[in-house]
Amino acid sequence: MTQHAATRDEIRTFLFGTIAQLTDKPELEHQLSEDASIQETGMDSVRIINLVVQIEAEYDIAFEDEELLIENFETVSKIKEQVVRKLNEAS
Amino acid sequence: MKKPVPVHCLLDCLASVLREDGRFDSRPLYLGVWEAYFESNASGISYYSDQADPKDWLTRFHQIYGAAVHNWHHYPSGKAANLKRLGEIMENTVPQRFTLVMADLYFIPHARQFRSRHIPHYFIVRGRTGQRWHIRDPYLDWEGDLSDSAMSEAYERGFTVDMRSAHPPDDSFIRQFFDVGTGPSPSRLITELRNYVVRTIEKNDGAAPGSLFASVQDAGVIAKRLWGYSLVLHYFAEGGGYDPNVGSCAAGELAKEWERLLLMVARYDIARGQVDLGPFLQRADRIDEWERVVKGELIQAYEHWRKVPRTKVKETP
Repeated sequence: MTQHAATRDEIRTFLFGTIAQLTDKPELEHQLSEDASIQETGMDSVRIINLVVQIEAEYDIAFEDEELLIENFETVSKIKEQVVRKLNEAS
Repeated sequence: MKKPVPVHCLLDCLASVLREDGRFDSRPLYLGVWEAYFESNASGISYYSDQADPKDWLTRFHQIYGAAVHNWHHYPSGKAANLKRLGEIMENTVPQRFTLVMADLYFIPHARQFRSRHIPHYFIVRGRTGQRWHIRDPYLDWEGDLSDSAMSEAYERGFTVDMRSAHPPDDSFIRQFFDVGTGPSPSRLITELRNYVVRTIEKNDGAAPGSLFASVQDAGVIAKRLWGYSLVLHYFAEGGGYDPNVGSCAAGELAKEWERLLLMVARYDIARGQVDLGPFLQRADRIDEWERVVKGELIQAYEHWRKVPRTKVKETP
């Protein structure tokens, strides 16, 4: 449980940092809300796919082509849950 | 009320006008939008080119609804004189008269393309107070004010739609446009995209060159036009006593497949490795299949609708 909570925090921090870097808005690292639409911050489809590629490399997981829908990457919270699920499936 | 799905910026403006007028169903307006022109050449796919003529859609609008379209923009007079004309029109607004403007999104602050890409776009100008223009932008789902300086930079041309002469959708034109707008599958868009992606990757020794997505990303905007199938299908289904839920699933799947396909292309570009075109081609084939299903349902709904007797629309003088 503690391990999962830590992992979720780690993932959230990674996602905030990567989104801040991809949008070139460093303030997002601390100001972005987990449930805010990441598209509203300037994450267009190319940046979202860039984020997907970086998540795959960081956590050694893969998103199937079938999963490539913007609605699956709407918020940090949604992305985080998918990463946790994939990590759990892999372990 | 459910928000309308963005389909085509000009048609979405006209649909917004029809909804505000409140008398007539806007859905027939989208007949054939799935076949609307786009440019495809060695540089990629673009949703707009100088060859694309929006006048055709305005003529259709007039033919279906009888609303008068007045092109007051005078090219030889230049931008300043036309903007002055727009200001005068706003000073003398008349109920049931709507003014639409084509502008460059590069200068429009509420657009994602602001200061990044020159793209022509239509919105409705509702009025003017001092240095602020009141705008409704149905395609971008935005309503607010545009500064005088932004309008001066963005404005390209304008026209007015007068709904006072409008009548219910004319069945004879609907039949005519249906026959023209439902060509055989596969659609030109998926054919052009498939050819361009395969050709580009093969030319680049099996890898995406890093510029591939940028060259074809307009296909995502063009694919939004496929929501027109759903709108027209529901119009026919409701008018013809056909199951109104038919087609919703297929149209939704078609839209999702397009999104997946384009995000796959973006991933090829970012990963920069060797591309296995198999999954790409399979998904493109699936888009073909879904579009055939949607068209089949549309044709069935149309056949039901066509058999229902209706009152003929009187010709307007």
